[in-house]
Amino acid sequence: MIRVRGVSRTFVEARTSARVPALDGFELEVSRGEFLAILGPSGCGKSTLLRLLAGFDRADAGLVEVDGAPVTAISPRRLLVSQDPALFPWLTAAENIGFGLRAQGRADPARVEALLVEFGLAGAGGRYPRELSGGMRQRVALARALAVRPDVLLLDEPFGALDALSRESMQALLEATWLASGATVVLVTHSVDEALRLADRVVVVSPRPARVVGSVVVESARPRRAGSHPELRERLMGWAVP
Amino acid sequence: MPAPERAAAGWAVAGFVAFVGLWALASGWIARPQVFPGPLSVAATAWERRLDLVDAAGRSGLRVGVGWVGASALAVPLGWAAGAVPPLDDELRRFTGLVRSIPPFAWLPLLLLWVGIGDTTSVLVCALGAFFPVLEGARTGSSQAPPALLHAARNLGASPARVLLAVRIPAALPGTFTGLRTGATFAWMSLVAAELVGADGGLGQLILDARNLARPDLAIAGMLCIGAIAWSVSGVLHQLERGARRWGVA
Repeated sequence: MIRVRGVSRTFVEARTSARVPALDGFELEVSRGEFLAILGPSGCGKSTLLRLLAGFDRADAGLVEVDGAPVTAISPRRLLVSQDPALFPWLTAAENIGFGLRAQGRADPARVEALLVEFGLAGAGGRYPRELSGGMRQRVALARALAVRPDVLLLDEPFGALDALSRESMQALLEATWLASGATVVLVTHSVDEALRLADRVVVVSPRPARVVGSVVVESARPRRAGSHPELRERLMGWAVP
Repeated sequence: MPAPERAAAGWAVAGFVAFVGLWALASGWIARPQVFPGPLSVAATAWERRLDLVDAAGRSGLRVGVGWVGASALAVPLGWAAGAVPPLDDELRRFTGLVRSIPPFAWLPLLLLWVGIGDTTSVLVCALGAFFPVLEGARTGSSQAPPALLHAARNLGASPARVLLAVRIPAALPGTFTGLRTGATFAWMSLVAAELVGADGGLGQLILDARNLARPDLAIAGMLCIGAIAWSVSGVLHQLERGARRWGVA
């Protein structure tokens, strides 16, 4: 379970030296295995929250806990995937996917091969990132994250730079792999439709400093169709556009 | 050959022809071959003294090679480490800030006192010429490794040593090759000064002898020899640098 209690994080703007609060007394709980989507305007502090959960950054005040233990460092148990797939350009797709396993001393070519097939990358394992499309690069990034079987997957607008068709197929892939893995997922997105299609629960956060202004539970069966839940969409839009 | 490379090769040939043509014209205009010999006269001397030139180039090449390799062996790991550890980088900048601005030739009097006339002095001057450009290239390449890649590696469970070896160093290679290339050029520039002061043979010594014998044709042949070798070495390193950049790192 993820527990965020009274978390504050303030940045100092380099140009003006002004103090900019990204989070101020932020509260959130995510159950183990839950798929949570966070909606909010650009720059509201959503990415800061994910960085705190991943251990890339430390809160100025408050508590960030995963499974009862405070988050104090980066860990492969909590993997962050962002819009920039951050693939290693000198490694092939297969080597990228296997990087985490090799780094932890448990190289597993069979698992890498299985992930290549599962993510529709069979035949592309020997290609370098520059030889892949944007959608394929994002598939590799997601497969690389799932290869190490994280407990928590933190997704920061992972499909934001993709075209509509690639985005659609990546959403389906993410849903299928999440259902199979049982990991907890926290997805930051600008898309209400994406949130409603994928998440068990959607929270809406306010402009900076972020705080939760509303939350809806999406109870319908999976897989869901795009554009379903017009009533929930309306409620979310009501919170998102004051 | 692809069209852009064909065009580049065409421009290179045209530039060379224009250079030789202008040289011939200038030499004919001055009309004093004992002061400014033309390209044909220099080519004839170079052919006639080819064995001396090859011998001198071999001696100089060895000195530059040893100095450059030695300097690089120290500067590259130090630059990579400095790029990865900001406090070390700060200390290194403070230390090198003063020393790097001293031309390698300025060390010659001290080196002659400490080591004496000979190959060791020439090699040390070359090493001093190469060291700081190589250090700067490696340091810049290492410090500019994309943070997103470093974060991704750490997040995937890589140890600090693995992040250095598997991410930071590959990311630093293009900058490192730029530094190695600049360092090789500086090593050649430093060598001639060192050999002019005192060395057993070599292209610098050959140029000095040519001056003493009033043989500008031989001096120019020696100069062109240095230019050709430095250009070839730079070309090879440039290809390696391009290969590293094709990885898409820098």
